[in-house]
Amino acid sequence: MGYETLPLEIECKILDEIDWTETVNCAQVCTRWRDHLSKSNAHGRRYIPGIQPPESIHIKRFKSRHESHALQDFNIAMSEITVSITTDETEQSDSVGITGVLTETAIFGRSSCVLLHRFMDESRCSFGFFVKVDSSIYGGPLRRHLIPQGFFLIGDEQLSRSANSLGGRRGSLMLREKLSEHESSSEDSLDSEDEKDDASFNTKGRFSIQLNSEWHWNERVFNSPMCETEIHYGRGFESFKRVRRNFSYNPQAVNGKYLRRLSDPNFAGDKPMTVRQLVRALTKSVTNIKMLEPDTRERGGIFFIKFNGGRIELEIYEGVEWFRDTRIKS
Amino acid sequence: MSTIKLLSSDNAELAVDKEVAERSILIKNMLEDVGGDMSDQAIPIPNVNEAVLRKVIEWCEHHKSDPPPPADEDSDSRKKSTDIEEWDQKFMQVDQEMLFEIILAANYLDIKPLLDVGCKTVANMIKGKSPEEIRKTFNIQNDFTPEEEDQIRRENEWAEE
Repeated sequence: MGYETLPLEIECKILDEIDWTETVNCAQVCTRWRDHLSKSNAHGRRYIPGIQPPESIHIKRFKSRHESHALQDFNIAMSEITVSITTDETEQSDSVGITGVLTETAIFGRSSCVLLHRFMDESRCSFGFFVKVDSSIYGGPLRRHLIPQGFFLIGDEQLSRSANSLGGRRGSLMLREKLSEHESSSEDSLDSEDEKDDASFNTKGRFSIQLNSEWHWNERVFNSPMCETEIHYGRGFESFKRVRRNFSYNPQAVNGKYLRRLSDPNFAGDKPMTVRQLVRALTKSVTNIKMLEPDTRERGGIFFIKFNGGRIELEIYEGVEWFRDTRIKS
Repeated sequence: MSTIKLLSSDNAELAVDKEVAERSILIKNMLEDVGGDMSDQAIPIPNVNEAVLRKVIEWCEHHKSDPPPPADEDSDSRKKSTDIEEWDQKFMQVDQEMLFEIILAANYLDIKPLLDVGCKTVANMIKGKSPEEIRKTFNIQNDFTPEEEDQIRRENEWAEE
């Protein structure tokens, strides 16, 4: 007697018991497992319930704006965002920030830094940023204001020539910002606090991904096929919103209901957002990083960064070569 | 304490405390249907052989004092855990065939906590394995088309990287 003798109901029960971290692998076992996992709540377990939602003012504002529309299944909720971080690289801090796209060496040649990435476009590209995270943070006191140390981009050579988002127009994707020009940029006006933080960028140069005005991070950022939830950030991440899919993911439905539901009239439509702004908004709201149960993966532990209004899950990969092509023709 | 007899599929008669046997909802209902008096007659358990039945009884004896599981457990619970009590872990250290037999028996006898432990044990066997390793472990046929495999690979590149 083997596994094949188990009735389907038990097979489903077993799949319902697996840890969500295993769902990606399990969905690749056979079509039966894939189909079951796509319908089950296994992926949903990525999202931890029972956590206090963001400040109530956000909820009220959101509800009052949308309660009379067809957006009632919107939830403001705590969400996890899968990003990856890599640690334990050899110290090699030179040359970071010199080129338009950071080299693999520049990215991995950093000590006590993490690489956050998971901003994907159909798994084809992503960008990320460095945040300095060391052991003192894990389980330690609250730490806010993690400062991004730099940005990087994962993609292929075509990336800069294609639309940077599903349904989004082509934007200027990876622009190097010269400091002198940047300081005077009206697009990227900085408050006094921003100016202070700029110091952390000066020595390494700055990079930004200039988003076109229609995209505004309001679609499929952090999306992955395994997530039933997509996350929508407002400009500056004032609020977290979570949308549960009621229908299947259709990347072609550019103008469909799905994307419309993700639109947010609160965006300043004529203002682009730089990665720096994005990352600053993210990292400034970090409250703690918590290590989860001992990880079963061979390649590292799983950490969570808890945000004000959300959580970011950090998967630590040790020495994983997840850079396939980091270079884009300038 | 009253004792009842269970008759396995291979005609082995096993005496067991009624309280222990009633961990099985199937047996409990059966006893209620006949007014609780089955002292003279063995209850047939046609789907479970002696070896498996002994294991199931062993589990029931150990857990006879456990509180009954919630009647309407939220099946959508997101906080499910594959944590298994130490005793149960040891109990489940059996070969794969016996493990699946226990799961089937628990399902047939309607012993939900045992079924849960069995399923969690299998779920734990999946942990950390690649799709190919999982297929090999459970002898599952890869029925994806090459196109589907390619699509899956692309979709999950981020996780593999």
